[in-house]
Amino acid sequence: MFATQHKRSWAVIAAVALSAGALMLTSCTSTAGGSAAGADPNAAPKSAGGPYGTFPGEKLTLSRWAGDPWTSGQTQAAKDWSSSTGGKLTLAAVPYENLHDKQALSLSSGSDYDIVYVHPSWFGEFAKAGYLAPIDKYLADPKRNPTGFSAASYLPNVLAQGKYNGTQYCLPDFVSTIVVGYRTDLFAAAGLAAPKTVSDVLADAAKLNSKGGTAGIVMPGKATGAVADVFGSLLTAQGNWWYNAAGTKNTLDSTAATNALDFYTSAAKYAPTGVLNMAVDDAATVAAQGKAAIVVDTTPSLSALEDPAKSSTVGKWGYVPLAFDASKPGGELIYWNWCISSNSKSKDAAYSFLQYYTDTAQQAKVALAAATLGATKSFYEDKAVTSKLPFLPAVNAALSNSNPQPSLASWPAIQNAIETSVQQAIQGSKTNAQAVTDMQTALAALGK
Amino acid sequence: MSTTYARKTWDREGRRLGRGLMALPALILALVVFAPLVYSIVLALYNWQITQINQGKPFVGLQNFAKLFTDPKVLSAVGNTLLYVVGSVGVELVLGFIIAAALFELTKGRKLANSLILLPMIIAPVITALIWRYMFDPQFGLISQVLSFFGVKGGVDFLGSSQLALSSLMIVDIWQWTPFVILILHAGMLGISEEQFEAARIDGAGRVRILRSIVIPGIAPQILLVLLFRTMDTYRIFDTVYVLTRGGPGGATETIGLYTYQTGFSFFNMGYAMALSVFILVTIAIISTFYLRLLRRRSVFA
Repeated sequence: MFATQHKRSWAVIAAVALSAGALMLTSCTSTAGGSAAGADPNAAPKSAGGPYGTFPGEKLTLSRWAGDPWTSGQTQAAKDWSSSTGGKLTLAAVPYENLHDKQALSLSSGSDYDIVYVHPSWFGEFAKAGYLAPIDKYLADPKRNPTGFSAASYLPNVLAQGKYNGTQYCLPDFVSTIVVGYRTDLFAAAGLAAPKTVSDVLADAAKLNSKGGTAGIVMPGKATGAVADVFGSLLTAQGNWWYNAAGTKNTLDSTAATNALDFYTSAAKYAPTGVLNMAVDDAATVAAQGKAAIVVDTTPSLSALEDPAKSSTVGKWGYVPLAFDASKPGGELIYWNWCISSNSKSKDAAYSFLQYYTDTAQQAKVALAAATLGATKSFYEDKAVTSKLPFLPAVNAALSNSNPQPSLASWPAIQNAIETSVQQAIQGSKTNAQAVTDMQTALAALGK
Repeated sequence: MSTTYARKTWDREGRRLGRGLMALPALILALVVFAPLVYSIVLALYNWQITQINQGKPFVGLQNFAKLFTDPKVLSAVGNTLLYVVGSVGVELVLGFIIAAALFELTKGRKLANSLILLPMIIAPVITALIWRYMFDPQFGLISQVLSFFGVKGGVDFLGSSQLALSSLMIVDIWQWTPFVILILHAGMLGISEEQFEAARIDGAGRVRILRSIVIPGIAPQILLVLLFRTMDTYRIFDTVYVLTRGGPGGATETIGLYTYQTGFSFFNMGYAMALSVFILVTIAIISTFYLRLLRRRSVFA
C-alpha cells in the first residue's frame, strides 16, 4: 500500500513538473499580446513612418478581396512591412463574391487568417460570433503607435463603425461617399454660382441641359448598389436613415424619402440617354468626356474626372457635398474594416500592420493609385492627395454627417428592392408615393 | 450442341462483364450528376442563410417551394424568361433556316461562309455581352454613332429603357446563337438525298414547294433538336443579362436564372435559391420531355 502511495506521489510530482515546464515553454514562445519568441512589439520603426515592432519569423495571413490596384498596392505594403519588421505577411485575395464565405468558414474553424478585411454588412455578424479581437488596448498604447497617434487620429464617425457593443474591433479605410461635381467653366459661362443645395443642383441642371450637347446632370441609375448609396446620401442630408442605430427598426421617413426620390426623378429628366443602365464608372465617364454639366457620383469614380488619361475636362470641375440645407451636408459612408482574427497567434504583429496601413502615409499611396480614401484626419490635409483629388474637402464635409450602410445580412436584398423602386419611379411605371411605400415594405419585411 | 452451350456461356459471361464494366461509370455518374442534384433538393427543404454562420439551417419542409408561388418576382422573372425564350429562339430558328437554305444553294465559297458564320458562337458569352454593351451604349456606342448620321441625336436607350431592354438582350442572343441553328440545319439539309430534289425538279416543283415538301420535312428532327437545345439554353440565361442590365431597369430584364443567382449569391438566401434551381430544373425537364416526345415520333431517338 505504501509502495502504491509512493508511486502516486511521484506521479503527482512528475505531472506538476511537466505542467510547469510546459508553462515556462509557453511563456518563452508567446507573450500575452500574441507574439512569438524574439518579437518586440514595442520596437520603434526602423525608418520614419515605418511599422512599429519587430516580429522575426512570424508568419501572418491577410484575407481580402482580389482587385487591382488595391491588391497589388497592398502586396507592396505587406512586403515593406515584412522587410521592416522581420515578419512575413502574405495576402490571401479571393473574389469579392466568395470573400464572406471564405472568411466565415476560416474564422469559424479557427485557422488560417490573422488579418481580415471585413465588409460593413458582415462586420456585426463576425463581431457577434467572437471572430474578431478587440484592439482598444493597442490603439491606446503609445508604445505601439507613432507619437500623438491614437483613436482620436481617425475621423470619429468613421472609426466608430468598427465598434461593436462599445468595443473597438477594427480600423477603417477604403473610405468614399457621394458628392456633387459641377463644371466650373460651364457654370461661369452661364453666370451660375456653385450649387449649395440639391434644389440649386436641379435648377442648374435644368438651365444647362442640352447646352452645347451636354446633359444637365448625370448620376448612376443601374441597380448595382450605387443608386441606393446616392439615395442614402440624400436621406442622410435630411437627417434621416433607413434604420435606427441598432439596425432593428425601419426609420425611413416618408417625407424625406419622397424628397430624395423627387430629386432623383427630376434629375433623370436632365440626364443623358441611358442613365438607368449607368453604373458609377459609366456616369463618371460621361461626365469626364464632357457630356454632362453636373455629376453626382461616388468619389473613387469621380477621380476619372481629374485623370488626363480618362478625361477631356481635367481641372474644370468643382465639388460640393450633397445638402438640402447648405449648413447640413451629408453623405453615405462607404468603407471597409481592417480587423484582427481572435484566433490569431500574432495579434501584436497584426496590429502593427493595421496601424501602418491605415495611417496617412500608406493611405495617401492608395489614394493616389486608386482614389479610395483614408480615414485619418491628417489624410484630408495631405497636399499630395488634395492636389490630385480636389473633391477631398467636399468629402470631408459630407463625412461630418454620414451614415454607413446598415450592417444587416439582408441588406443586399433590401438594396435591390430600393433600387428597383427608384428605377420604376424614374420610368413612371410607379408613382413616387408608391415607390416610397414599396421601399418601406421591403425595409420592414427583410430587415428582421 | 457443345457449340450452342459454349455460345450461351460466352453470352452470359459477356453480359456479366458488361455489367461489371458499367458499374464504375454508373457510380461516377451517380456521384457527379445525381448526388449534387439530390443535395440541392435536400437543401431546398432548409432555411439556409449563408451569412448566419452560427445559427444552423432550420428544416422548413416545403416552405421554400410554397414561397415560389407567392413571390411576385418569380412570376415577373418567369414571364420575362418566357418572352426571351420565345423571341430569341423564334427569330434564331427562322433566320437560321433562311441562312442555312441560302448556304445550301451556294456552290462556291460555302466553306468560307460557314467558317465566318460560326465566329460569334466561338466567343465566350460574357465577352459577347461586353462587346454588345459598347455597341448599345447610347453615348459612345457604334449603333448610336451610326444612327446619328441619320439624324437620330442623343442615342437610343437600348438597355436603359424597359421597352427596349429585353429586346436588346434578345438581339445579343440571336447574334451569337443563330450560327448554331445554321450549322445544325445546314447539316440536316446536306443529309437529304439529291434524288429527291431531282425528282421534284422533274415534276416541276419550284423552290418554295421543294422547301415546303422536301427540305422542311427532311430536317424536322434537326429543327426539333435545335429547339430543344436553344430553349434549354435561353431558359437558363444568366451571363448576358448580368453583364448588360443586371435585371434592370426596374426588373424589366430580370430572368429566372438571374433571380436565382441573386437570391443565392447576392441575398445569401441559399435555401430559397436551391428551391428556385429545382423549379428551373423541373420546368426545363417538362419542356425537354415535350420536345423529346416529338423527336421520338420522328424516330430519331426511338
